[in-house]
Amino acid sequence: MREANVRQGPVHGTQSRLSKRLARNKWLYVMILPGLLYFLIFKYAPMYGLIISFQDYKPFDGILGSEWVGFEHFKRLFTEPDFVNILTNTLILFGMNLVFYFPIPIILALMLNEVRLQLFKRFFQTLIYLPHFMSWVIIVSISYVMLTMDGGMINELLASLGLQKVNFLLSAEWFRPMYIIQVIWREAGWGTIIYLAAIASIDPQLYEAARMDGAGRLRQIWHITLPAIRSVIIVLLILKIGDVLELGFEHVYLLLNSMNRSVAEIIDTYVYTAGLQQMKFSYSTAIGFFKSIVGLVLVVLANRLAKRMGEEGVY
Amino acid sequence: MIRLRIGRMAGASLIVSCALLLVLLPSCARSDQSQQAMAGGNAPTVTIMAPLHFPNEPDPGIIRSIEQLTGVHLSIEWVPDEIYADKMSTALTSDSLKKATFVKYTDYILMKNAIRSGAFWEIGGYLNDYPNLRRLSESILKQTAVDGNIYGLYTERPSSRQGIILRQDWLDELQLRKPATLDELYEVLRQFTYGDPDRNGREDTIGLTDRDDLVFGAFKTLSSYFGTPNNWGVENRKLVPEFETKAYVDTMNYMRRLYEEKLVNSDFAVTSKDVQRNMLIQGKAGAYIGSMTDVQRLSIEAKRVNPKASFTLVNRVEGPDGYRVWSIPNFNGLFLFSKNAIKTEEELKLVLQFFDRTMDSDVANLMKYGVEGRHHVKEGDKVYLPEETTQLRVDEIGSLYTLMIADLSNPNLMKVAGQDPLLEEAERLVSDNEKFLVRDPTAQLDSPTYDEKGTELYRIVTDATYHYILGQIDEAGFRKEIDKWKRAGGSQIIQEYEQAYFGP
Repeated sequence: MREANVRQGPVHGTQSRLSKRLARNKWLYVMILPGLLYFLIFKYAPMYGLIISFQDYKPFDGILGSEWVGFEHFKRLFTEPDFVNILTNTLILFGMNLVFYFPIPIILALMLNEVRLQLFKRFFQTLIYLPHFMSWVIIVSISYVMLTMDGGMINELLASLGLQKVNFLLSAEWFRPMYIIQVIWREAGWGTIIYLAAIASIDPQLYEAARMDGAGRLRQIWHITLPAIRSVIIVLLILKIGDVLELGFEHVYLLLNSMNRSVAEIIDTYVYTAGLQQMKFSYSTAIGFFKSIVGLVLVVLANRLAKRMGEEGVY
Repeated sequence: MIRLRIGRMAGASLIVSCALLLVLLPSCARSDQSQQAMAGGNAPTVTIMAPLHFPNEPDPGIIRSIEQLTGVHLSIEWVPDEIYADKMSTALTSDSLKKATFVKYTDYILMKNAIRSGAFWEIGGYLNDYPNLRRLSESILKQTAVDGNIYGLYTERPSSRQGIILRQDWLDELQLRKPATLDELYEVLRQFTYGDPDRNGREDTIGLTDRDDLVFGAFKTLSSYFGTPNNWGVENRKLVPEFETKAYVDTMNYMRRLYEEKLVNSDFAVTSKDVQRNMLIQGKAGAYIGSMTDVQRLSIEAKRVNPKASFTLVNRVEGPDGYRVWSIPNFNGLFLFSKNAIKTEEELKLVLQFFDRTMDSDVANLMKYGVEGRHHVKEGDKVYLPEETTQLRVDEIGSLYTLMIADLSNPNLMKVAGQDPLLEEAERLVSDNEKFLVRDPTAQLDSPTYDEKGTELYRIVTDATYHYILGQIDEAGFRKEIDKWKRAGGSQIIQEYEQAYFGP
């Protein structure tokens, strides 16, 4: 009896407290509703579709009517002869993104911050934001025109210097540099926005004090600016790792061809060419599912690491 | 309290109105549809999804005439050909297929699963009830059958339109004859590159313009000149994939030589069809291997750049095994009838009725030749297609050709009198191709492994072929890739086709 009372008591209590709190803050809850609905409808509800990765999905039979096949599609993925290669390619491109692309917006932001002439700074900022608004189709087409063997600018230049022409578009060695240079060209400027905002919020007194102590510009950057934006850097790094396998399907797909497939085929393009184009929806879903799990694991690990290093993390 | 109640009521009414909106939206769309049907005099609506091969959709006036003649309201979704396959698969997954959906023969294999799961009407039993559909070719219908059942109305194409389009004025300039053998073809391409055929004093031309397609680009046609079988060869109770034959390797060597000596555009492995055509149009390249009927549009566009450009065609190139050319199945695509869009048998009959009607003399001639006086002139019982109206025909009626069922063997269509000489020549050579066709022995055979991952596996071979042509691997390396193809499922495909071909 007593036990039952104990169990009932608090439950009843929280219920009434909950409804009281709901009543009191109802407008706040109404305001959060659109956001909540957005996540429910566009992020959580579609997860229902994940079950087709365990089925032999046929559109006409629908999700409920299709036959269950268990882990068949996952088995196929893991035994695919190219699987290791595709995963390696994906991770290498991701690693290059971290090593070559990630620091560049930070460096750019630091440099912009040191510019004295405001007009020049604004102008330069706008200029480096621009590429972000170009679609990959345009960027890849421009590179194609510049790099083609049949009268491309770069190859003509090489030829006029008496050097050997290089078939950039059709070579496996040049794919990765080409990819990362294009990423940097498009995203580096845009990536500076958040860092610049973080830098702007640093207390100017700190710099004054440092100057009084005789610190030069580089010292100030090293001892004030960088430590101040450290947590922003870490959060962005974790978010970046969360996107580990979002290497830009369009971008890679546009660069992909028969001659560089051995290094350019990544999980996203594989989903498209081996799955969607062949109308193998279940298989595509299974690969996508696998990709999300890898991403999730990496985010959790990165977040733990950040916390261990005494940082905030993203959750 | 009162305020609270008002709030609650407002909330409730918000929900109700949202729900109402949701209910109303589709019904709005529906009433819109029925209104359109009313406009056509209460005519039933036929919805169609078809690929658009031309820059423009057909002229709305012509569509209206077709609607009047056939007594239906037409709603056609034209999808640019380049993205058609994607669009079709999206429509299939989202249950938004039209009543009649066009499927290209190259994508047909992808639809087989959907067909087997019952997504489309089986129409074999109905065909005999219609005067025109009854006359459809038994043998082509059989080629389109899935598990012996007939699901589609086919659009007919000649077996092989493959050949070589050449700059006649360049040949004349260099005093060359039209090539009749592979060696002569090589010589023509070499001179086109190094002989300055446009006489501008610079070495700025190439012989062949090719694109990133081993099948509809130059490669497969060249390979059949070399004697390669069409996809599969039969050698004493064995089926051999084409890429295991010596002729295939010979073709690769030929292409490799063209590539090394720069007689072909160096980037052909990533060249799109547009860029490929442009090189011919702009006078940068002198030869194009592909569909010979393309010559008409190529010639029109090239003359705009250089009025002196003139073209000629070659379809007979002698190889070690004499004249040969690969062929496609005689259908180029099918209209399939979705069970989701067509709910009842009565509706299906209406749609079939429409397609039957389009094969009657009045509608069929309108679709193919357009309006008399505007697009063509009548000469007795033949039509004359004046050259001045070519562009008009391309713009206003060209795209309708996709909708024509079995037009080549349709006796209701008028014959053409004295059309554009180039096109006439192209059509003459296309029918000449019939004399030395190479058929695909597996065209009507089933291999579950091929259906499952044949296309994906074929990529191994495509990649290896490009690597060989560009000199990145040697023959041993190529063999190794083929072994990879075999291990990944190729052997199984061979086995399954052999069983289907020779019987167990």
